[in-house]
Amino acid sequence: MILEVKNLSVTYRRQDGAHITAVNSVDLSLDRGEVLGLVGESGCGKSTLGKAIMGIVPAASGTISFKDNFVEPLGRGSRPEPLRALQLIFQDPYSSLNPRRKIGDQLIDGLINQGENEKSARQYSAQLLERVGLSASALEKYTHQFSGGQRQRIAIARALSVKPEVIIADEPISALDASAQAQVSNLLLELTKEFNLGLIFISHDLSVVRQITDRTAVMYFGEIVEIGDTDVIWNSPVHPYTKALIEAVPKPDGKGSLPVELSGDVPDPRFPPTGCRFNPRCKFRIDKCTSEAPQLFSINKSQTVSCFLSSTSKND
Amino acid sequence: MTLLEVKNLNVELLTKGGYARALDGINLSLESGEILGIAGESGSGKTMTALTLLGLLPNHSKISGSLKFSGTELVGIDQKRMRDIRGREISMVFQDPMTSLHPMLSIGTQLTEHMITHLGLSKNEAREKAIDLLTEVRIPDPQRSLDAVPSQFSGGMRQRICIAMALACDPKLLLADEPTTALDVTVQAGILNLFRRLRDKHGLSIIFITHDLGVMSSLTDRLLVMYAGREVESGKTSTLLQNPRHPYTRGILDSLPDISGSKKKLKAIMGFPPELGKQPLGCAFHNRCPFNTPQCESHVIPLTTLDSHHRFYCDIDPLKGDS
Repeated sequence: MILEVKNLSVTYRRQDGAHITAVNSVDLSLDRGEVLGLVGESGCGKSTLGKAIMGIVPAASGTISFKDNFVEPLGRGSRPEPLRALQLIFQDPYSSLNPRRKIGDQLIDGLINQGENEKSARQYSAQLLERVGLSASALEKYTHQFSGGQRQRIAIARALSVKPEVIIADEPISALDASAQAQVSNLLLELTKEFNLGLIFISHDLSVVRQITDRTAVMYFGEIVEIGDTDVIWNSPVHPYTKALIEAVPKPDGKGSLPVELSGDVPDPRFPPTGCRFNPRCKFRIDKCTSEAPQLFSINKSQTVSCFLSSTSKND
Repeated sequence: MTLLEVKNLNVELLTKGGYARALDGINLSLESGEILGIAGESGSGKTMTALTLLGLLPNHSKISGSLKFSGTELVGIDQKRMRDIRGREISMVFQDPMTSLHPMLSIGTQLTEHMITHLGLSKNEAREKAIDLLTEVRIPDPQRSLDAVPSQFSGGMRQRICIAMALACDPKLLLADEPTTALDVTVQAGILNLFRRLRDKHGLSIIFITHDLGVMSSLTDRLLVMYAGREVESGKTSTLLQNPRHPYTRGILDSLPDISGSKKKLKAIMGFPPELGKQPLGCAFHNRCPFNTPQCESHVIPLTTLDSHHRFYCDIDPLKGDS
């Protein structure tokens, strides 16, 4: 296990003074060479969780350990040496790359910080660019000379330049075209295997997560409601929210069936519902759901769910 | 009844390097009450087609061909007449509901403004109608929502408001440019159901632009696939998705991840589309096509018509005998 998150909570104080719990008691673990998908609607806390794991936003409670080092919130100082192998790729390569600096200069920054000399840093950057499917001549170009998919490849090359061991990719393909999406997802997957990286793939695109991840965690309102092997979760989802997410994906089968609507909105974070957070939108709600919060428990060796219905059906 | 008939539409845009062809010989037709999908990558000309229909091309653009909407020729129409049609008979819903609404004005002001301009309604009549529209698109508590500003609504609700706004003058044709791309799947499902209901209830014709073939499959009756400003294949959505004939259509279908079934490596289409204005005489997809022959690039590709609906531009037809 290379990364372990225990009981992590993140709270924000909003401008109006209200305290919002964006991530609530999350446990996660990640192995080398493993791809973990993190899915959920916008506002469910998946990006905040990713940032908290990176130490970009401070945790209110809980711990994050990366290779037996605790990740502390970043201050003004530079990132502690052992944590440099934890890297982040952002959603929008248009804003995460600097438009006024050459690609090469942006790529070598990390390496030079680690004490490499410029010449070897450039050589290594050129290799990385070639590895992600661009030519070494890109070193001398600027961001605007590349398409969205190409920019995301550059962002990936930059993350790779400091020899990371875990990459957190926050919606890395959402801003890209369909064919670029497939190219970039495949690239990330190949690199994970090639460099034996752990990858946390945050996305609201469930079908991509279905295809490229080993395990999936489904988040709702700051909590993980179901986590387990991707194949098992997508073939036999147990939590009503996971089921609703899967039913909402339109399928390109030409049969003309409309996706199923999930009624209601994500609740106001200032007033979380009592009991199960999903109960106001749940088709299968029972009385217990409004008074008591279900806990995550394993229903089989590859699937963990927090829903009363799964426990009753199991006890029956 | 045919509402829209586009024949051999060409659009050239003025760029730094001179005129570049953005739309190349587009033909399409749309019946009343029909939902047509236009699919393609960014830069394929989907949005440009919609903007041409609205008469919103950039200055100094050259346009040729014919664009007949409800009996009126829109190519070369004077600007004043176009202003009456735009927003009233043809309206549009954009991708991003965060930027297409004015953040400081109340929903009521934004919704009633063009009803007062286009339909000559009084302020109170327009307000009444706005309440009906918000009910129609299922905004909770429409009366109070009129006095709210966009930031008080979620993304999905804002898109519903934009749709209400587009419907305000009872248009015959609604253009929807990636209206669900910025939304979560759960919210998207609601919006797709709304579009379907509007068509079924009011006989509204819709041109729906997206790169998401899953969305196309659930909503549209017919589909036009575009690449580099040209049509590559069109037909009934069901036929086209189940039996695609052009290598590009097959390529994008193969590149889609499958939510059910077994895990497989995503098959990406390698390479990139040609730049604007650099389309070859022959097939623009030739450099990325697995069935590419030397002739593909150099000669004009004839249209192959399978039946009155399904047609495509490829004369290699690698699938001959395959279907």
